[in-house]
Amino acid sequence: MSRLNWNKILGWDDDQIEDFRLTAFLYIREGKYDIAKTFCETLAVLNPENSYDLATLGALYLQLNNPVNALTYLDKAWSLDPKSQTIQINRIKAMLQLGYREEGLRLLKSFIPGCKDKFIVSDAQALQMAYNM
Amino acid sequence: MTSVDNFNIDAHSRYAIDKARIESFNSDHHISNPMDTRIVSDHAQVLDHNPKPSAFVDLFGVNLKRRWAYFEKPASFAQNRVFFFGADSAIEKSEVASNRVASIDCRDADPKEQALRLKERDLIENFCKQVTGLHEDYQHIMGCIHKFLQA
Repeated sequence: MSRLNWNKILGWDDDQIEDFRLTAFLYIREGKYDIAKTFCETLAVLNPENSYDLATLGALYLQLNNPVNALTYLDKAWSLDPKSQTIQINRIKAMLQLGYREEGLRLLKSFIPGCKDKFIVSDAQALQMAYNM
Repeated sequence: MTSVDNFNIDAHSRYAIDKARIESFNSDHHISNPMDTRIVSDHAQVLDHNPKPSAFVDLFGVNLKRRWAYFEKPASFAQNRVFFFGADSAIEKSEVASNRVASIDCRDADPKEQALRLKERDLIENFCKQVTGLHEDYQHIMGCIHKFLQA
């Protein structure tokens, strides 16, 4: 990231940034990932220390079948918010897609017992079954 | 019920007509030997071009358009703030920002920093253009709805 403070230059305050964030999420819900990607890429430039923006951009890359970029952004988000289960499951999926099978399975094994979200747990178990074959 | 008895035709003639029909069907479908009918199912399988989902697709329901990645809601989602297209909204400010971005001087002593600034400026400019396009689409839709309500 450059040293410029884009928010100050552009005159955008927290309300506008929150509007962009919400609009990006609404496009994601509609399956318009390309439009949402432009929003999230800009948000990642404007807020390089915001784990939500980095995690959403990483998840979008994962959804758009670009696990290399996904893992880059998810790792950054993970370093800022290591407790997030959403970031962790997306990271594991990106790793498995990239062929890091053993590392992915090792992470899954430690991830499942501590995860409280039943949808994420069932997804993680399905991943374990699929990649253990 | 139609049978040979009330069809006004004798059994031999009816047999000959049926036989001719069957032969014509077989020749139409290139079945020289009636015993070959058993291979029809094999041909049907070969000619079935419908894609069959793999075990992986079945397991994760990819064909059901389920998301592969997980997306979290933003913190403001519960507030239901949708001011994006409204008056004094982010979209109006993004138009102002678009003009401001274009006039920014990205020169810097460090070439790496300069390249980063140019890349980020292009990204933001592209974003502002997209937002303006979305705003135009929104205005068009709102205009159509307005016309429909007036009619």
